[in-house]
Amino acid sequence: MKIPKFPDGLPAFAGKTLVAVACLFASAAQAVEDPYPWIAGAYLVKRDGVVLWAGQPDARLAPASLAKMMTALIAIERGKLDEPVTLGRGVLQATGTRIGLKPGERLSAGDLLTATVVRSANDACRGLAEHLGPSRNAFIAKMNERAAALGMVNTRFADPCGHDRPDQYTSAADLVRLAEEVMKHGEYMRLARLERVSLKTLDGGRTFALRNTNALLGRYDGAIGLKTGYTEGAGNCLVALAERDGVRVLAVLLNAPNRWWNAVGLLDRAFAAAR
Amino acid sequence: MRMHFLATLLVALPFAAVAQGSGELWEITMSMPGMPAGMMPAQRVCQGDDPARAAQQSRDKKDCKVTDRKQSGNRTTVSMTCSDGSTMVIDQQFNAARTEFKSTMSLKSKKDGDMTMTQTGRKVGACDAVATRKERDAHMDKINKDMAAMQAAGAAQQKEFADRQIKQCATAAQNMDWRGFGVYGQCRNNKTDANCKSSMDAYDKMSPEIAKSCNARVVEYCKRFQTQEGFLKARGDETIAQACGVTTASIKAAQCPKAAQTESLAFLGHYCLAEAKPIAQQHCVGRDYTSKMGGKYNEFCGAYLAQASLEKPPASATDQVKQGVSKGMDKLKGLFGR
Repeated sequence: MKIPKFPDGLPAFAGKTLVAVACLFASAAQAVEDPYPWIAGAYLVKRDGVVLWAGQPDARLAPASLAKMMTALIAIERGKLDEPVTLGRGVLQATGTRIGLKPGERLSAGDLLTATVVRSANDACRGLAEHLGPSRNAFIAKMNERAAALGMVNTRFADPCGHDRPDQYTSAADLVRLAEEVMKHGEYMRLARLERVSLKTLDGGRTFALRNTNALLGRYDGAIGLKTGYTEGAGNCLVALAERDGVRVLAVLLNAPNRWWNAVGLLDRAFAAAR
Repeated sequence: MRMHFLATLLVALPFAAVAQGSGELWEITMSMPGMPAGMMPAQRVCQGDDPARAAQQSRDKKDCKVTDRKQSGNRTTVSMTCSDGSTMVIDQQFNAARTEFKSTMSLKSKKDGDMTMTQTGRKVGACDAVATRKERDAHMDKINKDMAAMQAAGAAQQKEFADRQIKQCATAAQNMDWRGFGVYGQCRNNKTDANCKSSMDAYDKMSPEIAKSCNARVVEYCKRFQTQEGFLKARGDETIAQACGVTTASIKAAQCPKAAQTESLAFLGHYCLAEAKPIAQQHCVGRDYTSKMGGKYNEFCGAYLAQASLEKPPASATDQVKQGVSKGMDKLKGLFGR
């Protein structure tokens, strides 16, 4: 339990006392419950870094587009987002959600990242991965290397954008690790909370108006991201992050048929649960 | 206040009775427990006045009285009592030539706590005691005025702070913002806890009115928390319920039948699944999370469907989900070659 200061703060002479009070109520470890085993293949809910509820958190399931969080992380950690990227023919092979990129078009790496995070666009994701790879396979190796470094022991990536692959899997607990890593980057957080964004090719010839795939943005009070996913093999997936009054709740859902309603219910209950 | 005592000590000592006008110049070094050596540099004091009188005059403008004075050889002990109840004992010992001394000053004060200071001094020459005393008195007057101004400014600052906190608690109650109560909310059920207590004591020291007003506002808040309107505004927070000495379950149990009677849709949708179900079956069927419905049942359906989505589905539906998950897993396993 945290002891908040009065928002206006205390005069200096009372500061030490409040620091002492704040130290008193360090959050205590709680036993993890699974009160909603029927809602998803796996799920995990954390409030301010403490796991509240989890179901099958280590089960290996398909990640769908949640894999793009890793692609985005690698892109952000590398930097150089102003670099121009000339798209190859690979963008035409991207399936699922696309923004209609064409080979030969030039966009900044940052704009490809934006389309990957905001719209979950597979053509942008593929273009970005091939730019960073420099080959698709080389990029996948980087994803797995980074996952290992994060301690994602139940994760193996086989596609930069999360398309169903036989040897690709992750877990709710691993995705929490990944989510918490991307949350450290202001650029990811900025993109994740954009409801709408407009991008242009570097020559200004084409404009792409994108709407975020995260339905919670603008609908759920305090929603700030983070990533949506769906494939036939993975089902509906979601990493939802919301913040109210300085309290942050992170919910990961894998294969959750009612992911939006579930996410709202879980976030509501997590905010209201006893601290 | 402690600074005042330091000033007192400097002018009060050494206890050397000398003729008016012909003063003795003393170099005096002070130290206090816990204070690093050299923090207080040696000071030169022209002493030509009766020390007890000087001390009495200087401290809170004749606010202290000498209650005992003993002299034995080169040793002098003076006890004083001040109007605020504090006591001071000065024990001073000169060498045989009266060119050096050591002394301790022990202060006991409920307000400022206990304090012991030690001094060493050595005579370094002669000085004009009358001129020095005038200068010293002027200096002390200035210190007293500065102290009074500082105390007035401190009191004004504390009052301003207290007023702000009282206003903040009123706003917190009005807006059903529990966090706005600060320690009075968070420590409501932990008043005996050492840190809560010290925190509240810090406020009490500034003004007892803060606690009085904020605690009253918390009571007001808790009363409102148990109404449908207040509970909704506080988003049914379990921690707040505990702080108010109730549970969210007990509030729901009391309010859901009333909400059903009055068709209080917002409360029903969020907190009364059973009572809300008939209305939901009539107005929320087929609604998707991204549907743009609007109207009277919009918030109700949103809240109801979110909460209902976490309820255990009927056996057949559960099986469907499980089958879906299982199907996905089988597909993956199949892709692994199993």
